[in-house]
Amino acid sequence: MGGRSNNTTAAQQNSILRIVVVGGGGVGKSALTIQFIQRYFVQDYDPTIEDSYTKQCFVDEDLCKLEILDTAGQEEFSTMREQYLRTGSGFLIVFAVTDRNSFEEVKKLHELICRIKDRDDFPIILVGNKADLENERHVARHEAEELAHRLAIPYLECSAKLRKNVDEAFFDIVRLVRKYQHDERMPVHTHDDRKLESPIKLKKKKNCRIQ
Amino acid sequence: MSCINLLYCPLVIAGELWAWITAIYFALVGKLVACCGCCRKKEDAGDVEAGIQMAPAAKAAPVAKAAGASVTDRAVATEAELEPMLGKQDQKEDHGACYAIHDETNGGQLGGESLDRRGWSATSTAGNRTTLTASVHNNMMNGRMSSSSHNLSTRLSGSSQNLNQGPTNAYGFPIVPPANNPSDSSAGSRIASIFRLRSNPLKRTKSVSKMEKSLAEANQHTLHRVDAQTPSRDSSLYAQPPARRHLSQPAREGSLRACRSHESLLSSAHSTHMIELDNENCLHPIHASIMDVPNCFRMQQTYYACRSQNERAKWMEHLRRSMNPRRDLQKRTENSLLIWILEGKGLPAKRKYYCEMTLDKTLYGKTSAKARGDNVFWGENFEFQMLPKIEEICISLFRESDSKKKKDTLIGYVIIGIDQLASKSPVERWYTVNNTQQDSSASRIASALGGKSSSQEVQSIRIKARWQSVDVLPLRVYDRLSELLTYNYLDLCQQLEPVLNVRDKEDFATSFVRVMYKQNCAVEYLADLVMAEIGKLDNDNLMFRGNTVATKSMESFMKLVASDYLEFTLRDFIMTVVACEDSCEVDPQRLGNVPSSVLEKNRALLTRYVEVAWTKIINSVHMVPKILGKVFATLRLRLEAQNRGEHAETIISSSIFLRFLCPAILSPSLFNLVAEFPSINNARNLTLIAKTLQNLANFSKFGGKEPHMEFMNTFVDREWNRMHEFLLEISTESKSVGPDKSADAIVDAGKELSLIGSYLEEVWSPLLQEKNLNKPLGEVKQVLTELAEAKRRPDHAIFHSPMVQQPSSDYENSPQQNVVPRHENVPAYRSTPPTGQATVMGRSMNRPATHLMTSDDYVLSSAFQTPSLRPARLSDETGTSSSRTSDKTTSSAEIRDDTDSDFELRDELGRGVRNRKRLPRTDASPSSSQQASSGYMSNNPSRSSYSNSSSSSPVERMAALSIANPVFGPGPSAGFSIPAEPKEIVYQKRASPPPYDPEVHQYHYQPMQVYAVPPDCQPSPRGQSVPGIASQNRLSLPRTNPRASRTSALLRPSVVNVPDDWERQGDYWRDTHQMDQYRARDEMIKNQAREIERLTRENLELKNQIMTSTKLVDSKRSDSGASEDSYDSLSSLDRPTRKSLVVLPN
Repeated sequence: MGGRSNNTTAAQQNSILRIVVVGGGGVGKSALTIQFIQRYFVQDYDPTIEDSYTKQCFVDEDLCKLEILDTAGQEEFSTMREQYLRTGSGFLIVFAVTDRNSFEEVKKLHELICRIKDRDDFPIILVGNKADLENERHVARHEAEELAHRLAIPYLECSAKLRKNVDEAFFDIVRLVRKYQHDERMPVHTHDDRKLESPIKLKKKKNCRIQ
Repeated sequence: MSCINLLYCPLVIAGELWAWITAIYFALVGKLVACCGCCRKKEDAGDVEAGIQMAPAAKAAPVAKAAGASVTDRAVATEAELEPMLGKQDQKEDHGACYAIHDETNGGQLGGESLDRRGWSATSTAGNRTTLTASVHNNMMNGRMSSSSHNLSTRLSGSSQNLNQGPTNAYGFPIVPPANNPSDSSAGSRIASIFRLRSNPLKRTKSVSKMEKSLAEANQHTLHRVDAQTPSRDSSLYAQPPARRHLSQPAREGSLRACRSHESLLSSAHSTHMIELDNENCLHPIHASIMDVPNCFRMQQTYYACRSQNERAKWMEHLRRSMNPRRDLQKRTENSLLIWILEGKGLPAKRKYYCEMTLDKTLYGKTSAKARGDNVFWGENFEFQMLPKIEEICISLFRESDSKKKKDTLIGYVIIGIDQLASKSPVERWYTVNNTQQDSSASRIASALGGKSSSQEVQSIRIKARWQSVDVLPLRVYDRLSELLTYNYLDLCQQLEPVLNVRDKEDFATSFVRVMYKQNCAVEYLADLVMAEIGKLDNDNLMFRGNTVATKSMESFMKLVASDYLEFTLRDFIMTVVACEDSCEVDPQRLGNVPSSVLEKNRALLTRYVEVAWTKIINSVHMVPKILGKVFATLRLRLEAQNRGEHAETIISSSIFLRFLCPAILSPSLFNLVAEFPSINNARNLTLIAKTLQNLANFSKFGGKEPHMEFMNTFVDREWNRMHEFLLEISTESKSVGPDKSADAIVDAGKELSLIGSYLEEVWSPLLQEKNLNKPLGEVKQVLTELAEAKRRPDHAIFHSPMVQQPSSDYENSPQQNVVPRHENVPAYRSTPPTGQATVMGRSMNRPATHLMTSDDYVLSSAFQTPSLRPARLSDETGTSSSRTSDKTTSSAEIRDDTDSDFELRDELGRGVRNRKRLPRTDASPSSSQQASSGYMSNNPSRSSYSNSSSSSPVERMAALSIANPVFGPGPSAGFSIPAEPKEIVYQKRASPPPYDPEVHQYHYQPMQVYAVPPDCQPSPRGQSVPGIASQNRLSLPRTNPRASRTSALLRPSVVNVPDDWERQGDYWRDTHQMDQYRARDEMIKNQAREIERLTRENLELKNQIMTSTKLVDSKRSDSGASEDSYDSLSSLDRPTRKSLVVLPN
């Protein structure tokens, strides 16, 4: 097992945006994702290990290919995060408005992403799911907004069940990513630069200013 | 690193001289005996007897016990070889038996591990694995330490040879079969067990009889050659314990080694295993990355390899206890470092990079070498426990050189001051790499040449680390806290759930569940917590999905108790998957445009992987730790009681699969299954495997979410029922016959309690306090205040330690005998199965311990009250023979009595008062007490004297015990002659003519005659009771080990009972009393109190008697080995120390 690293990354199309859905366990990440991709609401609550989907859609009249990674909410899988957090170009941090615990985890996830990306800001959207369960709500809207404000990220409340704000969440993140990548003067921030590249290619990354 | 080199050197030699070595090896066996017998004479009959007695015990003893005992066994066996007295027929007969047993051992070895490497090497040999064993010895840093040896067994996959170096063999062959019946007390079997040791090597060499015959000769010969410079060794080999010689002539070994190559290595390897234990810091685990051998730890300059993490944890725990038996009575600081070296960036994209981590100039870990992707990603985590206080961490970044160049290039380094990491949660950030001179110039050149590439981005490494420095107060201080937790865990957890932030939740839950585990409450705790969580949920589907205290507790618990299970189940599989670069990607979108044949191939591969993994899981059902099965079973029962039985499966599957097995498959590096973070390809494969398994565990089919996985539905369909069965099986208590012992995990209760205290301090707001004002939890505040106060107090104020000045070890081989207060008897006391546990339990339950102060822990620590400052020197030789010759022991004990009497007295008085207070309570449980005391009480006429006894310290008790133990050494005669009594024969048979000093001997044995043996014990031949002495009744071992029937006394070597065992040797206790633990605990406490009282009284008597005999102290051979043995069996504390030391060298 000498440090072999496999750089063959499947699906290396240039324009793929990698959206990662993160959040606590059972908050509806999969439901949200599947609602977005396949337009139906999954009733079962089977825990996800890691699912990935691709979808092509028009956002602001630009075609984009999305690769959406639906992740496990359990802390136990946290090392995997390392991997997908590093490769994600945009993140949806999902919590359930009915679950205080999941809300508490938001901050930690945000911090994690920022640190891994080594940026203070990154395309991230805070998503409060299960907004339909108003009577079971444990996280007030203003609390979530407050937190989002503090983290300087947008907040959306949605319901995977009612398909409320689902597309919006994903489209918004796409816009954010685009804007971010534009700002970075890196037209497409794809994961293909993970490949061993020649120095010339590395230049692209020069504008990452670190410390 | 150097040790590795050392390691291979002898290996080569060994390879060349394989045959020759084999011959030598036998000689070495003999030699080994010598070392094992270290500080006593070989001929000592007592020794032999002790050894014999120990043997069965070893069989019975799982894990640690086996290891410790086996040493003894070996020693004895070897001795026996030399003794003409031994009937040859006996031997022959035994051989047959031995073989059988041994085979059994190999077969059954999987589950019950013996802690020593010997066992391992033997096992692996049997399993046709190739084992290369090398022994290396180093001179110890200290002049006193003459030499130490360490054997590292390395499995080399490629070679087909089985090389066993002499010493290793000597160590390696005796495996004590765990399968043996512990209660087997028949003489025959005992003897057999002894011979087993011998038979194994013989079997291996396949020239049994010849070897046997020439054994003595070979011994002489080999030894002579090897030890040409140490004349004493050959002729007087057995008369003079090598260890001692080494002590007095430290230089010799060094010179020997210098001028002799392999021979000296071989010989010295087991000649001495003296380890300087003066500094706890010299002991620490070695990360696999720098040894290439997993589960190693280092002590001084010697490295020891264990077979599993759990095993290593045990070893280290026991060693630490040995080093500082007072640990739990002192303030101490536990340092640990958790560090992830995640990724590096700004590095030129060439070759591979790796990091080395040094803590204050000591290399602690190394990452694997990774090539640059967009970044260099290592993602490796390291955890170091038991660290000394360090100032800084230095991460050096290297670039792997071409294979031809020798040196890897040091790119730069990152220095992190420890103070930056002291926060409670891990600190993660990018650290800029300080370029080394050379490299920066190189990069300058590079940039000058136009390759601006690397310089564009600052070279930096992302590191996440946490330095944890926990101040642990004496365990007693935590009594109230512990009690509070024990009785109010549910309430507490529920109240804390909302206030704990997510990050702390895991830490808190981890510590909490460990404390509960330590107190034998883990099952209740988990069941209550999980049930409460289920009750709270509105949506059953969300059951066990979130990250809560309950789920975290369950997770931590599984990690704690089931690490061996995990390793056994999945390691090989993961290794296979990781070693294979083939992708089993089945997502067409990820595959892109590839022929469908590829997809088919990948599918087939994935199916195969999943099937293998699933088969492994199913087949290792028996390995699921019993206690985990118990937790599941309890949950199932409770859910069924609530008519929600259908959820049981969800809970169990969410626990074992979602929280344990699948994460382990996904991130094997986090579970220590592999060191390296899997490559992207491997990670994807593992993900797919885990996904499929999780789906199966969810009882859901693919489809909908990920259509490309649908082909796995056939598998899911087919295995559906087996999954049901699996889940049922692991949650059915009666069926889960897991290796209970091996599942025992080491928990540092003091540390965990201290951590909990600090968490509480943080989150226990006035609001919470208010809320709980008149409830049990209202105490929290007070408890915390007390803790804070105790923290401020100086150490001695917390713990009264009168004997601070005493050197600790009774193994003292050094010429100058220190008069040490020996409280080893305490441990012995513990070791008695029921009592010991009870005691422990009681202790952990806090109350008994606090008041009695005689509780195990107390005794333990106080007994050894060895200031950590004083070097405790343990020679494993001493340890080797559970029954060490007690020449010194006895004498020293006596001396000590006198010296110690003063403080003992003080101590005792205080204790006595407390005990008495305690008494009324104690009486409540007659049955248990009776059992415990049966032998004891009958023999103890002087019970009443207890209260006024001037001094009864464990020390004295011990001394008394060691002096004469009717059970083990039937009398003074034991050493010299074979008593006529048939029952005794077993033990005395081996008695060798001892060079005893008759007078001393006589004297010491006198008391023996006096004492009556407890009813179930074998009466000593001379058991006429002399009234006068009887009142002093100091000796009868049985009493000390009151409950023990003879067999148990004999068979259960206290040695084996290493500390962790005392505390949670819960078989009896747990099984019987689990359900109503509180009551059980009370009973235990009572029992404990009674016994303590009794013992104390005895001690007093003994002490008195001993005082009179002070003058005899000088005599070296005051005691027979037998008595010593008895003492050993009694003193569990002692045991661990010796035993661990002894066993380890392999």
